[in-house]
Amino acid sequence: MHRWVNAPRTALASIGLVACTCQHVLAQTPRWITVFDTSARYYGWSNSIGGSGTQVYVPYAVQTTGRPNDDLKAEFLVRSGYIWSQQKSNGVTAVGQSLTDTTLASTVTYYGWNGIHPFASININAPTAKTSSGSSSTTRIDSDLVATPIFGEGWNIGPSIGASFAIDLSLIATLSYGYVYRGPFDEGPSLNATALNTPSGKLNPGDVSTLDVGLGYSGDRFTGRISVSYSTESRTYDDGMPLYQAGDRVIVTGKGGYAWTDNWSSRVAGSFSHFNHNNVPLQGVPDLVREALNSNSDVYRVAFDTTYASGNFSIGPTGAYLWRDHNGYDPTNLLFIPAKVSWSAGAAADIAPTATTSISLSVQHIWVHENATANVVDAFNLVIANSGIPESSTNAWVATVGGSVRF
Amino acid sequence: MLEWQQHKRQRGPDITLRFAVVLAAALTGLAAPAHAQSPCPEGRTFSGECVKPDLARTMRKSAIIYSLPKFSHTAPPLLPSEDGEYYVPPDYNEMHQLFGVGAASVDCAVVFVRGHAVACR
Repeated sequence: MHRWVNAPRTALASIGLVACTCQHVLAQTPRWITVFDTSARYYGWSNSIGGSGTQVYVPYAVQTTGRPNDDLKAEFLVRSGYIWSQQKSNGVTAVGQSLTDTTLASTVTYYGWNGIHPFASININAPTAKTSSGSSSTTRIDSDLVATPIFGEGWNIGPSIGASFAIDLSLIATLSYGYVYRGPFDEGPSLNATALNTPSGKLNPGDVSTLDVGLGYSGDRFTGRISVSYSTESRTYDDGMPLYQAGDRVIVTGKGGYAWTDNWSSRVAGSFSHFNHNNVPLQGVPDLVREALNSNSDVYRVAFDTTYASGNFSIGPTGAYLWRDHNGYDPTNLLFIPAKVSWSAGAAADIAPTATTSISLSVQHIWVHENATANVVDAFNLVIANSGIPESSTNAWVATVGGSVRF
Repeated sequence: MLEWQQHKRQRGPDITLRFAVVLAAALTGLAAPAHAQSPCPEGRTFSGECVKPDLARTMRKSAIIYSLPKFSHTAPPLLPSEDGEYYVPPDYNEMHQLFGVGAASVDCAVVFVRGHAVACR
């Protein structure tokens, strides 16, 4: 039974808590369910140093879930999308549009054992984006402003295996391991070019291995989960030359929700990301070496919402806070990446017109403040004029309308 | 070699084997087959109760998504309505280095020749 099918919607449903009617659900639910899910997202922003941009992103997906037999569950998902981006800076406008990449995902879960439910998942990112369109870096909007700043990349193949450990009906622990092969792709202009307007090169990003542990609880009023993952990454190559190797990474995410009454509920979600020092090229040294200063900044994010739910309708305020703790450094492009603080506030609503359909609406305003950075000093200790980033403030709007239909 | 080391060495494989047998037996006992029971939407606990299905689905999806943190920048293996539920912080350094993300907010981008900044445009 899907959460959004549970009309009338309650506060418990809005934080992911639904009374367990498990013994009867499987018999009542069709063995195979297909869901079509889509949304249209508008992003518009402008900053205090003359830049502005707009993006329309329309992702869509079809997911089929079923039980071939009592011991197995199979899930299949196909997702793609469309992006149109425009960005202005220094009087220059860059526009691009493209289909995004397309992901094919499949997960099989085994229920034949009490308490231990192993699963295996294979995920494939097919490079269906038209990289030649909008490949200018000026159409790529800040990844903290938009969820999808780029149009596409190369082939990704991501297997993941793991298991859920059902300690009791309200407490589940998970252990999983994933590997992402990331295939090469054309880097597009302006990145690591040996001169302006040179043909683009081939980027071969590093593969990523990740171990994740998670714990989730779902009680009468409270629900929460936490996940800790540790990743290692192989080298990234540019035209066959080692470009860098990202340091090991830790991501901690957590989410908690509480149903105050039958109609009111609140949720808070937090995440933390930390990289160790990268390995980077050093002139005169044949191999990559560990960078002296960590070019990666730590990122903290907290999001919260409160929902009023009644009947088949729910609405409530949303907000988020993001903090990039210090200026990171891009050793390849010799650029500082500014420290940043971002706030957002808005509202979201859901309505389920029928038992098999749902519509969601949301709008958010985002305020971003980026610190200034000094001018770049080149390898010959010469200061490059105007290469620093001035302090800036950005205002952005994000509006989303989405819908799901179950067949 | 000390006597206790010899003893440990001699008994090592035996202990390992015993541990493996005990572990397998424990897992087998704990994870008893659920064939004789009526099926649950998301399986059963060690004691045979039905797991809360929303919790089980969320945890499995979380385990998959967070084990693949850099899989597909444009099409994560989620329904679009689930994007906000499983937020993975982007690698801003990589976004900047590989894709030039955010470059338009910079007044000047440095042009360089294999690591040496040579101009600002």
